[in-house]
Amino acid sequence: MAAMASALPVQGTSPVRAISIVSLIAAATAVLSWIPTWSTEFALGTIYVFVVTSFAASGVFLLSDRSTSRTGWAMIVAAICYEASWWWTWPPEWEIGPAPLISFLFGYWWFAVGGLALLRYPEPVLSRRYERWYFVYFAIWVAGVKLFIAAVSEPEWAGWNPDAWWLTIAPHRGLFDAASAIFKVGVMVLAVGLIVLLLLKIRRSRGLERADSLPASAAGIAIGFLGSFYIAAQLFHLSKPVTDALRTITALTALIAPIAFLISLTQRRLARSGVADLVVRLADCTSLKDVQSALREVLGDPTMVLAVQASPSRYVTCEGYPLTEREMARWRVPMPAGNGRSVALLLVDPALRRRADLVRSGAVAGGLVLENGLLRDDLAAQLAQVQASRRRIAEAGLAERRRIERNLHDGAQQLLLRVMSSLSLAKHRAQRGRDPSDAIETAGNDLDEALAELRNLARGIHPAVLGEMGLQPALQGVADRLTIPVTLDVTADRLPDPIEETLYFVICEALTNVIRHAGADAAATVRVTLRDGTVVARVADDGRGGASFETGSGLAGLRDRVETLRGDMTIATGGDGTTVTVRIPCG
Amino acid sequence: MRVALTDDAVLFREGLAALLRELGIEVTHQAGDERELLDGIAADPPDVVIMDIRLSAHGAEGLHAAESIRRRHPRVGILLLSAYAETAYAVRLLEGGATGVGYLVKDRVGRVEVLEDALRRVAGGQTAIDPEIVQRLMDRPSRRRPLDLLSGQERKVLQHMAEGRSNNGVAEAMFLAPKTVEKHILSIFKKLGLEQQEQDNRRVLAVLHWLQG
Repeated sequence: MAAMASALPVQGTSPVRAISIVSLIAAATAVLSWIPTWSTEFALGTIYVFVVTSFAASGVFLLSDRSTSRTGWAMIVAAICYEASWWWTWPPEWEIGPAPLISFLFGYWWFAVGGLALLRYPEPVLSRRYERWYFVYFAIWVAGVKLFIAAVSEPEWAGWNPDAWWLTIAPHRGLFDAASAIFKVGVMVLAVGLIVLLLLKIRRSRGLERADSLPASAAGIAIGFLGSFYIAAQLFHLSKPVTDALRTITALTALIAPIAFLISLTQRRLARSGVADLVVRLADCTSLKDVQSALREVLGDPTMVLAVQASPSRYVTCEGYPLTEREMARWRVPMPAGNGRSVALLLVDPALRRRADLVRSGAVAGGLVLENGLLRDDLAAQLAQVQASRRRIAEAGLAERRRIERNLHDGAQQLLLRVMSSLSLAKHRAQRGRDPSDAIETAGNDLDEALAELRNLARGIHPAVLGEMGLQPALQGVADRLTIPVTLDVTADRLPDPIEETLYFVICEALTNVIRHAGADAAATVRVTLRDGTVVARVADDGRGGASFETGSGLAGLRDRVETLRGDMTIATGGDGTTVTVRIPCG
Repeated sequence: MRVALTDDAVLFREGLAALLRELGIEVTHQAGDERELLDGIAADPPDVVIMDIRLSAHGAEGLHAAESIRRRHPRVGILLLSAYAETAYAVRLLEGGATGVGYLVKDRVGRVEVLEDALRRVAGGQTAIDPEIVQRLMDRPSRRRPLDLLSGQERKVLQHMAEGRSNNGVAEAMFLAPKTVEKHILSIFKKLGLEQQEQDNRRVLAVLHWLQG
């Protein structure tokens, strides 16, 4: 095995040759070390040779990539330890010199080093402090306790040739038995610990990172699980066939580790070649949304957002919606344009920082495409649309304020002024000893009317019941005041405030349109349902039809509000009535 | 006194008419817009026209109507009413000529004496500016207007002047002798660096402009 190290490839040389050479050496040493046992344990021997060879080969394979080279070394060490761990099968005449002691002391290291490789893959280091502590304990246990056992035992107690080199200091049979049992229990606990750590790792990983590490983690869990069964079988002295079977199965499971590395490395290679595909795919993109979905697919982040600049300080999604706070908090990768500035931003899952090279390549490729004529037009058109919509919203707000001022001036204010003049009149009459009750009564009636005006106006600005009770009771109140029959089927669920408010005004406007256009004997149905995170509101009537965004003036302004919430509004109209439908995602 | 009323809000107009009649003022004519008003004045000229500054949904048409009336019927006084106490409206009105014009906030229908006083002044060819506007201008902090040079008495005189009162009017309102008022006014104009105006009405505009800074 020592020869193997010198045959290791220098980084950058062809991995195929290096892998062949190392595999050959590993296989040869394993075949040789099994010579005494081939006749009795052929199947197990075959597995043994495969495990050693595949550990060594995958180690060399991992060495060829800078980011996984530490894992590669760990796998090579694991291969050597694994090979040594089976020397106990040798006959006494082979068990000479330091070999038994090496096998005894380092046999379990394959498990520790292999586990370390699996747990940290694809990172070069362990990311969590508790993971590092776990391996410190593991090392102390495997090295320290084994040394102690060697010190209190004779080699033959552990099943070796009595003449083998040993570290005997104070042999004590009872102590040896107890320490051996404790050691095995400890290894089982550590195996369970490894399973827990791997499960935690799977739970916290996302996107590409999860795809990268899942095969290795799964392999680690399988090995830890079966390994602890095998040790338990030894500990409780189960019958030989059971122990043998478990030993064979554990050996077989060890084969999963190199296969897992192979799978995930292949995946990474594929992802990288995905960037090349991306360039080809991007060439066919005709809209910003196409570019976004191409990038999402290649980078494996289905939530990634392509954001474009709507004003110097403000970005919107490629569909023109404002960005949510969660989107803003993501990793911002500029998409550079030819002139060194950025045309757009990618808002990427922070977990992808580890694959920064891949993400940046994607961003650059995307940026180049956005610079091209067709998409630049699309970009400009999108922004013009966004700005037009913002302007319409601002204008609608202004018009609304004017309307409110007008209503106040013409309604409540005039009434209150008349109250004032009536009271002046009453006072004047009273001072002259005449009956003021007429004037006071007029004042009282005017006050009633003014209050009603104010209440109506306040309801038009923002109905209190909407905020306090929700859409259903608020719409019930609206329906009660209308002159046409309205059937309500409205979800009792509370929705986010802006959505409730927008839906309320859309439905009120649609009902106003029904009264205005559909004819006096029309009836309306209002349905608001919440399903799969989308609220759908539908106002239908059985009237003459004919409403549209052009004739139904108020609806056009409300459509902008709906679109700001990432929803859409449609009007379907015909001889048998009009249906206004609004869909707004609320998740 | 004979008064014509113009306001597009019928409710308020009728309330005001009832109040004026109670005060012994004859309401000659009620109109909803400028045309009706001009027709009414031509048929039976009143002493004063009381007119809302806003005669339709669009804005301050009352100011325009006031100019027409002044051109065609220079002897008819004009009292503009507004829902809002805006200095700009008052200044605009005075700039068109400060004889027999007034600007009051509609709320004054609750203070009969202020309304009556304003009507009499406008009918008599003087000026009446809403006390609220003047008060606000006087209270406005400004470094360029050394109002604190004035004594308390002088400030009151200035306020009455800004509301459009003549020397005699100020004297009456403050229970002072006309001579004392004249002395105060001389002192005010000197302290503020204002030129003495021969006519009381032009004096109002000068004072308002000065107060506006």
